[in-house]
Amino acid sequence: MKGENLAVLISLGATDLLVLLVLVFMPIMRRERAFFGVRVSREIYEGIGKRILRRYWLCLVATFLAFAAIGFLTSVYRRNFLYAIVSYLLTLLVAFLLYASFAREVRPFREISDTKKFATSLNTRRLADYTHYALEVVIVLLTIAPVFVLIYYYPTIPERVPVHWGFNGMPDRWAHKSFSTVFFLPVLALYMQSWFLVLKYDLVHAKMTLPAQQAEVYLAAKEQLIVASMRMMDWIRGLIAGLLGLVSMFMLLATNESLRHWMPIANFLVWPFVGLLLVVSLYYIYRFMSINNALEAVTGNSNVQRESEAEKWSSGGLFYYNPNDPALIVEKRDGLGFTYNFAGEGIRLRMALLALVPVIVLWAVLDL
Amino acid sequence: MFIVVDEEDRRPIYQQVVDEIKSLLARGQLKEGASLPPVRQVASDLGVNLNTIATAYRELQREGLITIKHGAGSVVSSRNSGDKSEDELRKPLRGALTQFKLYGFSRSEIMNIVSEELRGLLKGAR
Repeated sequence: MKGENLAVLISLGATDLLVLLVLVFMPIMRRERAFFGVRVSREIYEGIGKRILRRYWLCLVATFLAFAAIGFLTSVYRRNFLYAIVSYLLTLLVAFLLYASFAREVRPFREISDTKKFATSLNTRRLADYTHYALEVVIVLLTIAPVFVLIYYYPTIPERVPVHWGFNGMPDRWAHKSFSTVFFLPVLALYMQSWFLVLKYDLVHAKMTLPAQQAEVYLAAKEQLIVASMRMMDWIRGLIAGLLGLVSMFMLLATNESLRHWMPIANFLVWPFVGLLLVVSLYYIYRFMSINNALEAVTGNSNVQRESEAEKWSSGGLFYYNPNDPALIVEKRDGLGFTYNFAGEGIRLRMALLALVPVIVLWAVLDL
Repeated sequence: MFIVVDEEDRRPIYQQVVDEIKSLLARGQLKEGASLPPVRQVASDLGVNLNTIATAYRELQREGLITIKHGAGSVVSSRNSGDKSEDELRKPLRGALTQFKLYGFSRSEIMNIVSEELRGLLKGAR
């Protein structure tokens, strides 16, 4: 096996391990407030909880050794990627099933919440209040313009086109010219931007659960969370629009004599976008955690749920299905982030949008 | 500005919402022309059925306190409830006072309770 292939195998394995690590720490991120997504008493958490957790960790390690490690070695021995990729996917599937089954085990220890009085703010939350129109115009331009540019230059693009570039900006994979090879990136950009817009709209209307006691403190924190989410979305939307707009032009720049001298500049410009995307993501994860921690320091809990709703989470707080809840997006039980109510009105539209992923992938792979 | 709903209260949820909004109107915290959040937002924050909040809004509209415009939301149209006569308004008060008397409260105790409630209600009122 070539060194390059080995590097790919190892980096895929590292990604696998990273996802596994998230599953390792997910049950205890908010300690007894969301142990496997279930609120339990401190005694349970420190007594029987510790034993359950140790057993869970042991199972995860065993899973990793049994699937990922063996798959990796088989791949190296047989010189075939497939073994490793299948085993990595199996590891994640089994790890997820383990998480769900341990969550089921913890469920009977659930502590019943005594909060019965809830408040709601009379301020209307609107997407328009979190929209900067100049930014929207820029995003639309960066997303739509490459389509027209590529349509205009399509006849001049040669039969053999580069479809992948190395770190130095030199093409390292080629394909024959077709609609899917030329327009894949602009279509992907359009698709991603539609999703971001839907997500932003949904997040503004996320459910805000405010216990009547200390409603002001909760409201202030939840509004901060919404503002932070909106800013993060705007940064990511803008950066993705810029990045994909730029990369969409690579094929044109590399194959057109009169434009070729722009290629090094375009290639260099990719890195600030990638770097900023990373920085922005990390900063906002930190921001969300600090808002939740500040709320927890004052109130003792950053996420209060009704008894009737606590029942509706499955797989240890990963899925929420509650036909009696009119909300479409709710805060996750383990603290960080939001998730869909899979019984909410409008969920079909979102799932249909999600189902377009395989359609786009098939379109690119089958080269239609 | 908040409205609070208590799952253990014996009044139905829609009635609690109506009463909460009325008390904000009485205190002058909700002014004429102020808009109320959409039914869906209130319902999802409070974790109750959409119809519950829609019923509350309709009740407020029936009493002439808000105007519901389809697609444009609900707006406070008046801080004064409709056209009930003084006698009609007195009836529930009479009922409540009778209860206090039957439970053995003295006249001065009842007076204290009434003025305390009134003070609470008008806190921040103009």
